[in-house]
Parts: sequence; C-alpha cells; structure tokens
Amino acid sequence: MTMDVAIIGAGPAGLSLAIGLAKSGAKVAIIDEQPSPGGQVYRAAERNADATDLLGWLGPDYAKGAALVAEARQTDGITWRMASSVWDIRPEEDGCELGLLTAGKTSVVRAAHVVLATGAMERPTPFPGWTLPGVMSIGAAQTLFKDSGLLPEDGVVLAGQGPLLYLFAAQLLAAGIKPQAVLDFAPKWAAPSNLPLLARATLGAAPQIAKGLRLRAEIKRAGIAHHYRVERIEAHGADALDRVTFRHKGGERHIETSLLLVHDGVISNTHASMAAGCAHDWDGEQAAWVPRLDDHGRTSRDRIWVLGDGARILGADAAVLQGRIMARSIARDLDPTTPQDAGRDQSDRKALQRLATLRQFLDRQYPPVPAFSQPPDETTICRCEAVLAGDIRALVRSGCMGPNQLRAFCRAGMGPCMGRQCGNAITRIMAKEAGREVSQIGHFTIRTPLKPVSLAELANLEDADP
Amino acid sequence: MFKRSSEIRNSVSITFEGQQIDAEDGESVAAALFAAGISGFRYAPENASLRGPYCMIGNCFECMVEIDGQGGRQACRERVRAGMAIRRHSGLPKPEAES
Repeated sequence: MTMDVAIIGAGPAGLSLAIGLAKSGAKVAIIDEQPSPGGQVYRAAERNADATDLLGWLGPDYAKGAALVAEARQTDGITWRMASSVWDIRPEEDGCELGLLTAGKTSVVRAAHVVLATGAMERPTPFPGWTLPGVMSIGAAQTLFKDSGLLPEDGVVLAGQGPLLYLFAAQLLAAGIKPQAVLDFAPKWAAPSNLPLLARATLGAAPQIAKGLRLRAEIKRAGIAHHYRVERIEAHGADALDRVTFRHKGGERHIETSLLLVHDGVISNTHASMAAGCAHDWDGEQAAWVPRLDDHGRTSRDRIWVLGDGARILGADAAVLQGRIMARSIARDLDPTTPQDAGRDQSDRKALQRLATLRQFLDRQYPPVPAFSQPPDETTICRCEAVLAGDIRALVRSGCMGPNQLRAFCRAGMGPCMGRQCGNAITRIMAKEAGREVSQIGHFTIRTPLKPVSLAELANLEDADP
Repeated sequence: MFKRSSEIRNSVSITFEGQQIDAEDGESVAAALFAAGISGFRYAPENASLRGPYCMIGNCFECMVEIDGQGGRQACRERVRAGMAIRRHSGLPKPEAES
C-alpha cells in the first residue's frame, strides 16, 4: 500500500490532520492500535454515541469527540487501518516504510510522509507498593469506563494531582460512585508567583479555568474527603491492594481500599519518534522529552512529522487546531502550487496560543510530584524487570553514566514495555543521583521492533501493495 | 474493585484459569476479567509477584495474559471472543505454550 501520508494515531490530532489532507486530495492512511478511532481522550466515541447515561457521566468534552470521529468517517479518501500496531518505522530515500501488525498478520505501508500523532501517556508514578494489583493509573480506570462502561466501586481512593484527578472524581460522582478520599499532592490555590500566569490563562481560556473550579466544588459538595498537600503514599497488601497509607500535615494516616487510582499529569508519548531516530530535547516545563520540531511540526528526520500531544502536551482542542495547520503545511509539501491560506493559519495559531498559555499555567501549578520523582530506594521503577530505585542509585554511584549503560548493568527498560513505562522516571532518578541536568543524562535509545512481534507473525508478512 | 454500569448485552462464555466467566462479546479481555473480580493477571518473571493492568493503553505490559495457549497477549488490547481460554502469564518458560 503506497500513500501520500501515513498517520500513526487516530486521536484528535490524527483525525483532524486526516480530514484536512483528504479534503486537499491527498491519499491518507490512518493507523491505530484501537479497533475504533478517537484516541484515548475520545476512546470508543463511536460506540458510545447513543449511550445517554455514559455520555452524561463523562460530560460534554468527551461527547464532542463523536462529531470529530463522524466527520473523519464521512470524509472520502481516508484509508483506515484500525486494530493495527506499528512495529517498524523505516526511513527510505523517497519516503518511509511502516511495518504493521494486524490480527496476527504483518504488512507494509509505504508513504511519502509519516506523521506521528501518538499522543500522551501518563507520567509514571513510582511509589512503594505501586506494582500491587488494585493500584492503577486514573487514566486506566477512565479508559475502562469509556471503553467498557466499567465503574470503580464505592470506596475507591484517588491520589496524585492535576486536572484529570478532579475530572475523574467528578465523573465518578456523576455516575453515582463515591470515592472514599482524594489524596491531592497539590496545594489548594496557586502560589502568588503563578498568579499573573493564572490571570493570563483565565483571559484566554476562561471556560477551562471555570471548569476546573466547578469540578473541585462538586467534590466538596459531595462530602468527599479532599486532602491537599499530601506528601507521600504507600500501597500495602499481599497479592492485591488492601490498604493505603499516606502522610498529610505531618501525620501518618491510612485507608482500607481494594482500588487506588493514581495520576501525576501526562507527558508526550515519544516511543515512536525516538525509534524513528528523531532528535529530542528535555522540556523542563513539562519535565519530559519532546521531539525537536520546526514551526510546522517537521522532525530532524526528513519526511517525518510529529503532531498533537506527542509533540508537547497541549490537549485535545489544541491537537485539532494543530492538525488543521499541519494539513495545510503537508499539502504544500506534496504540491508546492497549493495556495497559502495565511488567514486561517493565523487564526488557528492565535487560538493555539491561548491554549498554550493555559497549559503553561497548569504545568507550573502541577509540576511532577516530588515523592514520585524521587521515590525511596525500595520502590520498583522498572516494573518489567523488577529494578528498584535503590539499584539505579547504587549503579549511578558506582559510575554508570546514563540510561543506556544502566540497561546493560541491570536490564532496566529491557522488558516487554521496552522502557515506555519507566524511561522518564529512570532519567530523573539518575540525574538527581548524579547531580547533573536531565538533558546531560539522556534517554534510552529506542529500537524497532516497536511492539513485540513473533517470528510466525513476521513469516506471515504480506505486501499490501495493490 | 470494578463493576459494570449496565448489564451484559451480548453474553459470551470465556474461561480464566479454567473458571468459566460471562463476558461482553468484543469488550477488552482486561475489562472482562476486572468485571469478574480478577485483578492479578500475571506473575512477574523476576520475582514471581502478582501484577495487574496499570495503564490500559498498551504501554505498560502489566496486563499480559496467555490466550488460547499464546503467551504475551495484552489483555487491554485483546477483544473477547466466545470460548477464549485465558490463563495468567507466568513469564517463565512453558514448553506447551510455545507451539
């Protein structure tokens, strides 16, 4: 199969780009691991389009995803490759070759341009006991909610910080579920130094700021114990979670629960852009690696672009705007005679700037939780290979220079997740222990295959060229 | 831990460690197991500790199970089909699972 553009990721960024490009006449393929489009934010939007109860609980920001997905579905010229993993990204002379895995069969898609719209992932939240069954991320529970209508039972405990903590608590309350407590690591109000930015964010994005305050008010109205400035948490249990201990206002407290949901903001999912060999830089404001991009979203590799939260966290609304802008950039790359649309570019970029100011405020209000950034030595960091924070620190003290050497010493990042889950945490722990900047420590070198692929699946390779 | 917000519409029968479970046709295997009250999906090969889904978006691989004899399946991505036989992933060499 040979395309003008192959987009990896069918979330708001990828969908918006696909619509724009297809309308300009380009041959577009959109690839996603999920069976239906929408990404994580609009997960299962098509199937839930008529699910009145669920839509009511999740709220209008989720409900609007169905319209975007429907628009993309109705646009001619988009080839859909859902339920497909990309395991190989191979830059070639005149474009790029992608290896796909769909239902046990491998195939190849060739495209003149490849756009990575791989979105966000939750920042890892290592703390003692976080590998116990019954501890998971808030995003994971929200995915179960959107994708399968599964609800946590009463007594669930929410911990961490950031907008998703408040949003999910309010969504649970709307669905009639009462969390036992919200263990909030953030302070209740913005620090005085962050107030000017809050004022600017409110000017440009008043509905979003108002929504945040409303969500917190709903938690309070429901009588849920909402502790601010929690300092640390630990999960306890033999084969599954049964108790959470936490430190608050100088005292140790505990709660009995079988489900603890944790969140510490989201970071760009750079696994694919790293595997493609694109240059990345450490973004101090977001405390994450981000691909190095020009104004249009071009990476350091020819014909490979990055779009949406995978480029830098700005959220779903921004991803749609960015998709429109990039569609015009790529259309001009494909056909230089395509007329410029400076007016639209300008108005989209202006709207984007307002959302960027909001994000800047959020990044400063919710910097990574210190207790998760520098967890105690007994905390598992690499879940796959059971490598502890103390193991990593000891190796740094004995002279280990960076994540790639660390891998050779203790196998951290070499399990099935290939460092997706632990990479960000390992880099920050190593930097602190070595007393160096994160940018000096570097990140895991990511190699293909991007997803585990068996020899049998490789032997099934079919060339999908028409 | 988790409960369904609505009744199963298209019920199919699957098994986990030989125990029969009713599940929604086409839902994620992870959702089906959670709804049946199961939270431990695999044993970590390094220290045999029990693990369960953490991220639900295909990143963490903590939800790995064995499906119809095939190891290394991500329960968050695999979809339920009638008759699926699911077992905990042990991560340890198991000749019968390799065929």
